[in-house]
Amino acid sequence: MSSIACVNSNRAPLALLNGTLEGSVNMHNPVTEDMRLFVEKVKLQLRGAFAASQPLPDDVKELSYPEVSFPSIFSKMKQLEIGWDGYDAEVPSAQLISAAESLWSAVKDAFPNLPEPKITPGPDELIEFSWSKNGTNSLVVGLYGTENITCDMYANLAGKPIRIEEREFKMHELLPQIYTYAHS
Amino acid sequence: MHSKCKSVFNELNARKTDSLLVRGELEIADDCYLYHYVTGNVESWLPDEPKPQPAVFGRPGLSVFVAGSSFPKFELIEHMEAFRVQMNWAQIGAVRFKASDIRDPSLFEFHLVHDPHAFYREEKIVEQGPNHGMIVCLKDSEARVKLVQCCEPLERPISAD
Repeated sequence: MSSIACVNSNRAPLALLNGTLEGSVNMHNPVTEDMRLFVEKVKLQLRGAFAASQPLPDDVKELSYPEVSFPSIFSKMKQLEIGWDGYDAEVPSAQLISAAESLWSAVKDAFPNLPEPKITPGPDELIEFSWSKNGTNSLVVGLYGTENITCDMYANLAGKPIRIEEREFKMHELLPQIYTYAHS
Repeated sequence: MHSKCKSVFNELNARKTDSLLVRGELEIADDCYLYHYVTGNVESWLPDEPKPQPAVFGRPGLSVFVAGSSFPKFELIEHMEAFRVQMNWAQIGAVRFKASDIRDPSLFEFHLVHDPHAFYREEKIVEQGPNHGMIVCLKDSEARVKLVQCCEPLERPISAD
């Protein structure tokens, strides 16, 4: 099951590219036919073999792994146009999306048991990570800017607010704060 | 004041320069409701969520429509549909705030202004209407979360079809 969990995470594509996941599956776990086909599917997607005009192989179509979604939210963000929110929203810059992808990758690696956040672009050079507990936003991290990326954070843990005012985005400073939330 | 907030105020003041387009501004009483429209887009308000994501409220100048005793009559559904057509949106949803919450200094440091003036954009007149207002100032993560907490969801983004 651990292999499947890994495939379902956003780290899977990188691991697959490096050959590490496929290797570990082959060496240490019996590879079911579904698993083998799934790995092939991801590999094909990574190679861009699934062009819109090219139908999926029949055996791949039959698989269902809903946790894996292509294109990801980051891919969607890269396709946004000015005014995407119906008003006059700016398009998230390549640097901002890259910073958000880095943060998401680091969070997944550091805290694999943390629930997935909602990752949402905002209208004014913003990408937001939002974790909820009991239907309320308990941790929100905002990344801002076009070139020089800044961040802030707000968490409300059992009525105790934690704030980080807007500052330069530094992964090593932000992750410990998210750690506090992850282990609360 | 943050430069982004100054920029919004500069824009609001610039709208008052053409006397043909300027309307009289009204005081927004604490018991007024402020309606903000959300278009369904990019995970901003998913079907399984009771409220929009905080990021929806990230704009330094958040556009609202004011309903209250001293303002022209405001019928939400009719106004939503007219706004959807004006903005050429496929979907529209709505939340509302109480003016007293937006002004509450223990929650926010916002400025709530009546902004009914029409203005020119790309040589066309943009008609905002006599109920239009603006919640001005920076929406950091804390402010956005609190805006979600304060807002009352009314209509999910629904398609015109």
